[in-house]
Amino acid sequence: MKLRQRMLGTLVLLAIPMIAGANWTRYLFEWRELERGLLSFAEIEMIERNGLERCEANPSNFPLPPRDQPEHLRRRRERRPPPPAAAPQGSTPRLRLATYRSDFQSDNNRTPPFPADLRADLEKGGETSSVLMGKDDSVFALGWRTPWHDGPAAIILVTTPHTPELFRIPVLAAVSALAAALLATVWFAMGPLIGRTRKLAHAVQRNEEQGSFKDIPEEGSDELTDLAHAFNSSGASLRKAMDTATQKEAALRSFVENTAHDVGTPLTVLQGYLARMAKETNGDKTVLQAMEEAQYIGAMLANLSTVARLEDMDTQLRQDRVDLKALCLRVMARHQTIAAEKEITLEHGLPHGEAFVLGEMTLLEQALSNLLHNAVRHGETGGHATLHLQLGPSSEFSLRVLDDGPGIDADTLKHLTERRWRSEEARRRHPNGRGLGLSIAEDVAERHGFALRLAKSEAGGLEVTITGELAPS
Amino acid sequence: MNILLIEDDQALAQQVIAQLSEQEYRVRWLSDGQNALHEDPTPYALIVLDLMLPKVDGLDILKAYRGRCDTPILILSAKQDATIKVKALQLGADDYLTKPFWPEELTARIGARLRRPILQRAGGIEIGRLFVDLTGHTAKVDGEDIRLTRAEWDLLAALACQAGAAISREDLVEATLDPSRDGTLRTLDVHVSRLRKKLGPCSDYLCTIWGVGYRLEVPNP
Repeated sequence: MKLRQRMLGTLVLLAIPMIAGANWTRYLFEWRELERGLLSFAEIEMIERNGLERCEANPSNFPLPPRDQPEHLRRRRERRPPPPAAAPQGSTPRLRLATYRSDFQSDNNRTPPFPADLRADLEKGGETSSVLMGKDDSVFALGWRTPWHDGPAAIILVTTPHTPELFRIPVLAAVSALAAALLATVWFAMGPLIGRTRKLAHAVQRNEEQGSFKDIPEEGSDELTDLAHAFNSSGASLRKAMDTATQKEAALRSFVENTAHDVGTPLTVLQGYLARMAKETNGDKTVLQAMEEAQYIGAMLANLSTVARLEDMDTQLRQDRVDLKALCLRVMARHQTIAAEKEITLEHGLPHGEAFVLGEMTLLEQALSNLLHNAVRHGETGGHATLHLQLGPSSEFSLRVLDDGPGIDADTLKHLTERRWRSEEARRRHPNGRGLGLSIAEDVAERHGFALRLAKSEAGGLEVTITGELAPS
Repeated sequence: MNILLIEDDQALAQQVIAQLSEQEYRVRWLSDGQNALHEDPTPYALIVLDLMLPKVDGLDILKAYRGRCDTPILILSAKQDATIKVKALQLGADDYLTKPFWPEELTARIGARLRRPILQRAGGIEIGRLFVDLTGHTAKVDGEDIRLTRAEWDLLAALACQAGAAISREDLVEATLDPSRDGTLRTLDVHVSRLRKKLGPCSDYLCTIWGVGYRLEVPNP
């Protein structure tokens, strides 16, 4: 829920009981005022206008005829709008006074019976009591236990058609208008606060989108400013930590790349010596094993650089037009020597037309090299390994690397496709392990939007297929 | 053929020279970038250029040579970084080789660059000693006509049109055999076997590519 909506809801929830409470207080006040007015009237009538004497002299002809309201009640009434149903506008409500003996019986036959509710209250010992009576509670009645309890005026009943109103529309309207004004004030007063809060939120969001920790503006000098300041302080700490981590990461990547570079040339020389020794010893088994290890070290070096590149999430992959056919030929040539020494026939099939994809050349080359390296490394003497690039009818390509080696059982195959190169198990060097190279190949394929699928080849070995879209010509 | 080798590592250079000499290439070796800049690249059939050289960067030499000749240039790089390789290709390098590499890998890459191109003349294709006349529907080995059946001719023509590329058996069946008349993979293999025999001295041009199909190989010069 937005801040303004929450404020509005809270104010509405507060305003309703406040208005109801104010109205109830007014109602009780009016009730007390009426009680006081009627009691004053009765006292004036009985004492100052000799009502008591007249009553005692001739109790059967008392009460008095209806009289106008006392002056102070009339003034109060004139200030208020007339009650809608109590009396027609312009007329003056009449007060009626009746006297009763202490047993609530009147000497005058025309006097109405004393109201039961009032009688019950007075019998409990109260001096006065008031109640609404008549049809629709249209009459306000006051019962008064007088000090003249032995005479015919021991109890006096005063009635008036004027009653306190439970709902007085003008008052309600005034209070509601006040509440609305308060709401409007709060609504507009919240504007700048909400605006600044939004600016803060946008600044934080922008930082998140850009993956940075740029300072956000610290306007004003209130709690929002404190919040912005706290965010900036925390951002500065994070920035520092990230800068340190980035520098360390860059140093590590640089170290890996430089190591791969520095080892590249001597390893080439070593491979040259091994190749010559293999010729001179006519394929000695020990030399062959040494050649395999050299090939493995070369692949590991390349894979280290590839992993460092894949972990460098700060930079996007290059989107060069990569010639898949040239790439296949390079990878074929790379493994030709070791395949020949192992008496594995290395074959390739390339399509007639052009085959370019968008991507990072060295990553794709290393991915494919890993697949062919696995095929040769795990192949058996007299076996085959083939790299076959095919173009689909539209703009898709399929690149298969298949061998007729021992293959991989279904369970391992499933496990290999799930495993990521970061896993510890994949990092282990195992005589029959295909984990790291295969995982890198899968990662590279995925990062290029290609699909990599593992299956058993027709000849019983492994068949790895990479499929994807060619680059537009 | 003369090859110019520009490589600062002496041991590696000597190995490369020995390997290329075995392949009957004549190699001139330069170990310094400054000297390489002053070398005339035009007499060479191919140039092998290491990118990390003392005094002058390999890319600068590449740029200078490309301005003077179209000689194929093969780059040697010990770095995996794609940027430098892409830049080299953009500057006109024909191919690159990442260290470490096997000596045979280098000769294969050089061989691929220097391989005699397939000649297309007078409606035919010349592949080594084999000439496939696409207009006259005939084939000659060393100038002598060879007698081919309709299926064998279609097969040879399909392979010759994409000489050097492997064609899958399924594609060859679709292109050359009538499916309603026993056009199966097995039939194709029989036709290939007969065609290979008829090609005589050129029979090794027709290679079986395991897992793919067949290819009419362009022979090395």
